[in-house]
Amino acid sequence: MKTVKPRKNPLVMFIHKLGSPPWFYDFTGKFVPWLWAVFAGLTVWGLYLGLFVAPPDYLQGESYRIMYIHVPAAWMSMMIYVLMAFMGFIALIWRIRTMEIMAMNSAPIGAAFTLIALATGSLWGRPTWGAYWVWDARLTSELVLLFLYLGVIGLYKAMDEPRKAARAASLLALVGLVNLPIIHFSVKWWNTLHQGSSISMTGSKIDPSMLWPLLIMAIAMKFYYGANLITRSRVTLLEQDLRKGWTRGVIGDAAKERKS
Amino acid sequence: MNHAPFIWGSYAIATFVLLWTAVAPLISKKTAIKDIRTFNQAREQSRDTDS
Repeated sequence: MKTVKPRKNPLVMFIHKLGSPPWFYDFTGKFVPWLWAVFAGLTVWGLYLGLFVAPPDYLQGESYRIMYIHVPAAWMSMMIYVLMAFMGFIALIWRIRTMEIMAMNSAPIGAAFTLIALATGSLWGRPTWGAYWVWDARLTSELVLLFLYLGVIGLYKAMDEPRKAARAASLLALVGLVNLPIIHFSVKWWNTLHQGSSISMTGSKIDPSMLWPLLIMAIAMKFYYGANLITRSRVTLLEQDLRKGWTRGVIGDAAKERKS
Repeated sequence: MNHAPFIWGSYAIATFVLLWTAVAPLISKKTAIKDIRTFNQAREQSRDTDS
């Protein structure tokens, strides 16, 4: 009598492989140059359309062009937080080290985007509202997001054992998720100076000539996140696995890169 | 009001932050590769002296 081997789910197999540091290092390394290239191409295209082709706004004049960096950065600050918490959740439940590393490496990138969103928003606020900063619900909740990112980074760096630190910081990231609906709905729940959403799932209030550069920039930033996250995670793996055999192959690759 | 300083200021801040966030791991990678090389050399040396 023949026995039939149960077929393994390719997705499960992929997740298993992703948990192996040498495989993760080799596999993800192939994508990095492409991700950076797409990011650079989209950014040049988006900025060209946004800064030189799109017409000035009838009310805000030229200052609305800050939106092409401010809005994608603000979207990324929230998206990265959700992904960081999700990866942290997986790391807490299944104890996958590469997930811990990716969750923790998302924090500095998310903090950078939050900082950009706050700084550019402030520079947009001065000519539009007459003030660099107001304690408005949207601005304040975004500032709280920056503090949450800094809290995750600080907690991770504060502990000597990286795996323990990643689990503690992942827990903090999960608790901080409560701030995201507050950021999103702040313009609806409270009477804020910050304008409401101009883009929703059903449509947009922005003219297509101004909308397209914004969407292109938003996609470009996702490639930036992907490229940066992979680069950072690969470096963290090298730092943590310094004494393991597989890293010797990496030195060989680095030497080859230098020669070519 | 002249909006140019606010617009270019925003893009300058964003460029600086994004560049630094992208370059920082590359600096760490150089250090990590150096550390791995040093560790392996030390291990080989101790193996040679043992044999």
